[in-house]
Amino acid sequence: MSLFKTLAGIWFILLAIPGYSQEKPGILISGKLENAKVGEFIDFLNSATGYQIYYDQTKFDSLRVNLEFTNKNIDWVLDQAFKNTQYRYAIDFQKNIFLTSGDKMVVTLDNLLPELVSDEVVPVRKIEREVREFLTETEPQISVIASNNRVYDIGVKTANFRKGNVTIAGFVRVAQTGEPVIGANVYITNPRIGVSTDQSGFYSLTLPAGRHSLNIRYIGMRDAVRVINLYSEGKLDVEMIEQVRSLKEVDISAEKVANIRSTQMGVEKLTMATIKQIPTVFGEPDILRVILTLPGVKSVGEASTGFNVRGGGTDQNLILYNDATIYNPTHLFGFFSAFNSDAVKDIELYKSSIPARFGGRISSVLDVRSREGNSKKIAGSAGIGLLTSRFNIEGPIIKDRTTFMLGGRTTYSDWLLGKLPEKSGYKNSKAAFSDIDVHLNHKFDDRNTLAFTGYLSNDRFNLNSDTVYSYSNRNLSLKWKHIFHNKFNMSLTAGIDNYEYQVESHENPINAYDMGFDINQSNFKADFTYYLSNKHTLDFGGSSILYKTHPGKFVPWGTESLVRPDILQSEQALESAVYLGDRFEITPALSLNMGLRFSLYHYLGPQSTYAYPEGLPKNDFNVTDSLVFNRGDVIKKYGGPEYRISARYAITGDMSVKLAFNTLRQYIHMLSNTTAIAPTDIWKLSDLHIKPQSGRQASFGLYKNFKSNTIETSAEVYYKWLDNYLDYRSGATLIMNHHLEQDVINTQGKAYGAEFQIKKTAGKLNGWISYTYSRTMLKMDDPTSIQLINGGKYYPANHDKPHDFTMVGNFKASHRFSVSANVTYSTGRPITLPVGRFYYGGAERMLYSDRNQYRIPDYFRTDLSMNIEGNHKVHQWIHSSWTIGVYNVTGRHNPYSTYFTTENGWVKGYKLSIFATPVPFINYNLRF
Amino acid sequence: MKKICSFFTLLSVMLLFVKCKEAYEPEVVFTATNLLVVEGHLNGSGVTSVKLSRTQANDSRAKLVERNATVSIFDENKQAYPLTESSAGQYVTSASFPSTGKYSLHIRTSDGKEYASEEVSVLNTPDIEEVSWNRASTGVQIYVDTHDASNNTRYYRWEYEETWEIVPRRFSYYELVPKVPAPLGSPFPYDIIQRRPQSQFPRACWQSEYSKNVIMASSTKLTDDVIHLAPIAHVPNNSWKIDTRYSILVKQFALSAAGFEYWQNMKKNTEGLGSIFDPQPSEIRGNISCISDPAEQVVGFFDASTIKQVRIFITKAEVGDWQYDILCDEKFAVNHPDSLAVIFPANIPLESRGDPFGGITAYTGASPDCVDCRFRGTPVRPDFW
Repeated sequence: MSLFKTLAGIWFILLAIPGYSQEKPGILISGKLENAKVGEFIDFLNSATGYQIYYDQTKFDSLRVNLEFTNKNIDWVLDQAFKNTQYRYAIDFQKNIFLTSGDKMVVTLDNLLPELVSDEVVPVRKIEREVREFLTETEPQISVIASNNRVYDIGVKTANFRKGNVTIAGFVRVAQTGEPVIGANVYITNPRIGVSTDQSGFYSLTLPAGRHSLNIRYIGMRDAVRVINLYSEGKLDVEMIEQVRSLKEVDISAEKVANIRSTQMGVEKLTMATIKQIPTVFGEPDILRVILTLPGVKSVGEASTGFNVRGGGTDQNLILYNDATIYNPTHLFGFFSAFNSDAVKDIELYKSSIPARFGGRISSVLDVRSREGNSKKIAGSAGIGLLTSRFNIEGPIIKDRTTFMLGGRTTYSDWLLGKLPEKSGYKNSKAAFSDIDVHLNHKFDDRNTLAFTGYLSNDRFNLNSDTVYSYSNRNLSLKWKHIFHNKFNMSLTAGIDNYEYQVESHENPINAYDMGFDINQSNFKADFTYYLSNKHTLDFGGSSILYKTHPGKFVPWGTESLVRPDILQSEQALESAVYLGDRFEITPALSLNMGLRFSLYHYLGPQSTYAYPEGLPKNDFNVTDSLVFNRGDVIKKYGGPEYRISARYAITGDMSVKLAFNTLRQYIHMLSNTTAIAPTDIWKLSDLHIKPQSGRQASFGLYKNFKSNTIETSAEVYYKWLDNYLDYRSGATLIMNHHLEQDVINTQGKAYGAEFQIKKTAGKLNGWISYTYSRTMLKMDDPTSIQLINGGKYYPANHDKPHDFTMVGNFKASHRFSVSANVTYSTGRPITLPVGRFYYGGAERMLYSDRNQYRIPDYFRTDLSMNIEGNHKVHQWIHSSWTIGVYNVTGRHNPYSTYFTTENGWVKGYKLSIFATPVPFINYNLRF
Repeated sequence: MKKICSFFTLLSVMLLFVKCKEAYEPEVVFTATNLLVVEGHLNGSGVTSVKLSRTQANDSRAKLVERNATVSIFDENKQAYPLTESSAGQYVTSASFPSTGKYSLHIRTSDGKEYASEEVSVLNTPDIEEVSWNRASTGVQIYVDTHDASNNTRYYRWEYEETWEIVPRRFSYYELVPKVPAPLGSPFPYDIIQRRPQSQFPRACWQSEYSKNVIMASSTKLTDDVIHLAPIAHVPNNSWKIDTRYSILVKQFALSAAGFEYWQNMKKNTEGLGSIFDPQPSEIRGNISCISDPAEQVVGFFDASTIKQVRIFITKAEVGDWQYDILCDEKFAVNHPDSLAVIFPANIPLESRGDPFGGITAYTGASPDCVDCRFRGTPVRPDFW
């Protein structure tokens, strides 16, 4: 039979056919094997029995045999040695023993030689398959799908599983690109033990030794299962397959229970896939706009992307881009966010329980993470819109080790402006921005990776006047991740962040000036995670930030300029912190997350400042002394503990309650007299007179999932206290002020609210509906201030919008066509209105009410967008899609603000609305 | 701030949508109470005047003046300089105040409440160096230059008074005289006669306007106390103000730092808000308080300085390419009562058309405001003209 011949031929090639050994089929052997490796074991068997033994060395590396026996036959010995492993053996009639991994080799040709079948050997399926498996000396590339059926041995293989717990760790990556999968759930079901992967896709799971089915799940990825034999500590990396793009929305089984199981409260995580579904004004996916649709996040108005989280100020959000602090997250007055959507992997917003590893801002942390880049092949994407274009290219430098990603965006509004007729008056206006992202990632080995992030954004505009404004963010960060062992890993991050702005006016030669501000920070931090046991995971570490700001310079430009150079003293400070956090799972139902952070702030010289007597207004008349500090002097020290505690009790598998209490400190303040983030806002360090801000928040939440976790509902309530928030006295000068302490007033705040959300995560129709009731009140109670706003009583903050309703929906009509809608309603923001008129200086003027006692009309907006994908051949070179939509479909004139001005001697009221008609947009996107 | 608004319009242009701002009348009850408003400036070089009025809680545009108050200025030796009410709510004195003194304003209103200002010194306002103008694409922009060699003044405020000449577009040679007695049933009961000297229209009139915005500048950021090309006034393109000749009188006031801050807040509060970069309206507190009820808010700031002023003239020829026009078509009517009644007396007769035999066949006419400049201004020639 030809098949037989072929087989015989292959055997011949592969294995030197041995000569006949001794007969004695029923030979009995005795011996003692201690931790014997496969070679020793085979040698022993061979010499004791004379059987010729064939095996693939590489597949038996992990075998260790511990046996003691007397007068047993060879079958018994092999059975014992391979017990609980996937190793199988077969003995043929010529006294050859074939050891295999997985299926047993068929050594009898049942049709042809029935009489030779030994009792022990059970023929298994077809012969070809078995042989082929046996023959593979070099392991073929294991397809990831097939991996689900494989059995993995973890650790040093022993005949019996030992007692007790063993830790398995590894990385979860995307098969196609090699990027880490962050937040994937890795778990076994019996007993239920699970973890999520961290920011580098790393997981560490302590399980009882033995055989398990390890489930790995994540949104947008096919569920993966790994059957493992867990002997001792070991590594298992898992590659997950992305769902084909068009199917992304169909399977969202991962994270299903995350909202129930996680101990953290008020954490919102969005992937780029979700972000891209939500319509935005110019059709460009915009992270910050999407954040504004989340419960508890508000902004003052439409043209501001500064956002307020649970009543906090716009400067109280720590915005991190791969651990680099971004001071101004917007482009072009906030019409665009500063993040290139193609480079971003996902974002996480912490509104309530902020992990102890974060600090320095009191309202929220927005953690934006970039993708690592495709480690398998060069890929890219680009988008072309009416005002902006973006591109992104990524790929391996060294395959599977080093990846790069390069992204950029720019506007081309300038040429459009130039095309405008002279009469329009805008011909000379210019508005431009650009940003560049560079990411490099290098994997030294399984334990060490290094990631580099470079980010640069630039904005420059003038509004048909000669005053040119420009600002830029510049960030560099380097992160080294090291895994000591399965239970202990570390990441070290060092970085430099810079934000600066410039204003220049050169038209009037006598007054021509350049004005500038910048803030620089060098930071270093070390974060450690120790997976102590299934019940305890410890996070600890420390960080240090050295600030150096140049609060302002105002210098002449040109030779004729009479501008007196005025340069404010630079400021420097050191902010350090150490923290320890414990994720403690008391019972599967009850878990606790405790964190303690101790932060310490040193305001450093050189500096000269005034001293004022205690309890008197800080002004020029009350200066008692002039203080001069030298370089390195500690002018003022602030610090204290910050508590981060949250607890979760799972009432049932799909319902839980959570409680959290947090305290935070913030040593840096943004000075802004305007209602939104403006390019001329200054960041001020806490100093001798200006105290750090602090905040406390208590929150309680109830979470319940329905329909096998495809519908998530949540209700959270919170109460928040803000201390030493900065407000300004009437007529304060914030720019180029040498003694800012004279113009600022300490303010107390309180914020409270309830947030409700229903989220449908699966199906053709998905999205969320949220309703928030919240209030934010401020009060000036600085006793040393002469003039208190609203007489020292509580008044609503600018972003106090009690009712807020948002609906975000996406309907997937087919694989190629989807429709998204976004509906927003909120109470109008508070404003100060005139309550009287009078004549002064030749004209009628207004007398204003107490601050923020009235409201502008309510806000309502509906946006629609369609996404049309090209064809879905997976292997074509370019995938393209169109995004077409309309922003503000109803064309409602949502006032941004109202104002009253004296025109020709009479008071006139106006309301200003931005995007007051439906704004159509179209974008073309492509990926390759 | 207009610029920002323009920027949105600009985006609007680009995206073919237009609306940016619209009129807004909030449903707010004007609750502000009858607060005393004091506009007081001690003139170190002329007549001092203090205006008293009240804030209005209602929506009416009438000015609520404060009459019958007792107003006086005290120097630091408590010597009183009484002011007398020259017109409703306006209290004046021509007393001269030595510039070395410190002065405060005292008011007792008719309801018995007493108000007093802080003491202020008389600031010495430097001379205006030059008032200049240039032809900008949007119109004529008028600037002021000044400097203080002693570097003391630093804060400046200006007011101005614009005056311009109006020359009638058409000259009338005829006038209508009603027939006496009026004939019954006639469609045109007038005689048209050669215009008599006593009914001649003025050849020119003048109109004046006082500045309404707060105009101020400071040189605190400069090495020298120099104000260069501070924009004062703007005459928009083709405005009738420069139809023939235009004049502007710029008055310069030195301010104290506190006064500057007060005026600046007033400006910020009332001359542009609502844009992203504008600050929120803030409470403005002056240097006048109510002695009888310290909780009562008083609007106003009392300051003292000398006043310097400069007048310049601008003619249409100097500006060039100035195309103000009003519609002054000549209308034509055949000399027949029925025809004449169509355009007269609604128009004023200008000229006649005759036949070769001395008969009048028709009259021309024009609307009164093309002929009589008194519809727009006063025929009294200002003494500086």
